[in-house]
Amino acid sequence: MRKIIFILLLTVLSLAAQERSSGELLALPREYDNIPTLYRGEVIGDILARGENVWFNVSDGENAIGIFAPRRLAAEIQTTGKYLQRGDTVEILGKFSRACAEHGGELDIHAAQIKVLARGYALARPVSKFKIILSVLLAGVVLFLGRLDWQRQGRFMK
Amino acid sequence: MLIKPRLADHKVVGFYIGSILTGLGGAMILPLLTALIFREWSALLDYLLSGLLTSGLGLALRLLCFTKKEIDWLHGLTIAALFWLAAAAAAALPFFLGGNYASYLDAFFEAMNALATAGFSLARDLDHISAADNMWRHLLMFFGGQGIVVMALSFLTLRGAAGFKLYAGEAREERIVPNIISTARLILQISLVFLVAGTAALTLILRWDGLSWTQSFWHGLWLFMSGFSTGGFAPHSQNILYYHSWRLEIALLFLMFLGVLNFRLHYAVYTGDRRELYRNIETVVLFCSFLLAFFLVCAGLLYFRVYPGLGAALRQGVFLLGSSHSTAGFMTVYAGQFFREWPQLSLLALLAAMAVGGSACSTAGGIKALRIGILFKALRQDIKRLLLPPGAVSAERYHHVKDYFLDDKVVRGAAIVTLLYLTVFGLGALAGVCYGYPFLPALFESISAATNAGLSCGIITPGLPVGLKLIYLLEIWGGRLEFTAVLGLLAYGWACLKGK
Repeated sequence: MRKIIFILLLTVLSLAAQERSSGELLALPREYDNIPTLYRGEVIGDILARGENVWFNVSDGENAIGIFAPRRLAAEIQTTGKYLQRGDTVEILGKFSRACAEHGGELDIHAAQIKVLARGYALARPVSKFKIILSVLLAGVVLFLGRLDWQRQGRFMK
Repeated sequence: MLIKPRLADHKVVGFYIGSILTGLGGAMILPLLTALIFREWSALLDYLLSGLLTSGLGLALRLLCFTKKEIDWLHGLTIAALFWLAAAAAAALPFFLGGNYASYLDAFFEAMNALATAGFSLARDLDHISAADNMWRHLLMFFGGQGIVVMALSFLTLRGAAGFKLYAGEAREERIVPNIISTARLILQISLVFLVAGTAALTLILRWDGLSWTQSFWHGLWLFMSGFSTGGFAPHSQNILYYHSWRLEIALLFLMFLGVLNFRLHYAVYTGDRRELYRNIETVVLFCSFLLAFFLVCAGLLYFRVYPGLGAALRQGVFLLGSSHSTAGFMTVYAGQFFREWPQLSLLALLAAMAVGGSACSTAGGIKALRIGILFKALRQDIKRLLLPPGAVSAERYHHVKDYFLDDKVVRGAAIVTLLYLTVFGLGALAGVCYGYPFLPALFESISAATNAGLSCGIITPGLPVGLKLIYLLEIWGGRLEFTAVLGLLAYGWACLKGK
């Protein structure tokens, strides 16, 4: 019975929810306060476990917004964005709060549904051969200059 | 008659800038090692190349400008002012090579913000920068908070008063102990003790808040460097909001409080004089100013129902007030929220708190509590003189580790620096208005830049016009050096042009 009620609620929520970007949510926070929202973006950084729930942050390229969700909903997320990887792209259906009463006035979204739209992937950060050659040459120059400076300091100290 | 600086004078300036640049290049080994740990090969190469370039340039300057001539006051000021520019230019190299900044100017802006502990960021995608870049950003803040010249003095052996002339150039005039090299080393030791303890505490808190042990350590280390230096950088674009943790906010408030206190006060408390905490003119001013601003911030937030309930208003209000008063600039709201949601009463209180700033000889910026205290004492003395019979002598004293008599020279010094800050606040706001921004946000950003606070209401973004970037850079650089060294540099330049 509880499962049916939950599915019904979720259906109503998804019908009522409209997709919003972070820019829209931050520009008119009072207008969208406490209403169902669809928000899409890349999961960045870390997933912070808090008991039966988790916090994670989703960036749509403009801003990142904190998402509070039950742990089981976030279990689908496999990759989070960092220097060497792009995080999973997710769609969050949940309630947007301009100043969440449960979380000390933070602006956040309490997720009711999380859908992984695209899996994250490794980002290529190629190593430049030109920089390697330049570094080797510069290392030689710095060693030479360092030796000259050392000798001059030695003479000065005497 | 104005004396034109000779080649020997330029050599003194070049030699010391070269020495400190050599050290800065060497310091790039730390982000390089971080890149090695995280296997960020491209970033590792950027730091290797930048470190070699910086050290090479520093060594070349040392060799070209080698001199036995002693530093005089103008040299000290010129070296400090020029070095902060040279250091930011060198520190920006790995940021620029990493490709996360739209231009070299943006990378330079980032480096200057890190060194001056301002905390504005122009990174295009902070959530995907390398751990090495994060290490460098926060390390620069740690260096800048203590003072780069102070860090350099800790490792240099200078004779006579040369050390003090360099030290004073960096807007530090107070000695903890009579010897200036020992003072610099004490500042470094105090900071390192706090670094170990603070990183450990933050690591535990972040682990409790759900980060892995490894991430907790790195984030703890970076947030300590930023918090204690009252800098305001954080590893992610959401700043402190990323962590969703009241525990972390309390810990950072405590760190900012430590950073805002004078190193002389730290030393006095360490040596057993705990009464200094409530007798010192700076702590008295800071306490009164914080209390007044606290009432105004909370009154505004509660009256206009910005947050749902007292708890939320107190959490946001106290953290952001602590962040602005200490000039750290940590954020738990989005930049745009300030002017869209916060009432002007609370914003004005934040502006005033940023303007007052922290203590002299601390890691904080702003006009400084000591100067505000001295000006209030001078005002009280003048009112007393009006009430006393003609010919009566009224002496005003203030306590700042020792008891001092208030004399006109001290009041004049405090008044001039305060006036310079107020002028720069106004000029920066005017520039913002000229670029089409409304007055209050332009004033907010200008005060935040000149006091090196780094709280932003959204004007300073990567898309900021180049002219405004340069103006804010000048404010950040001048504000960090309390304008004295900048004026010294201008005097040096003027003497080069017009001297005989």
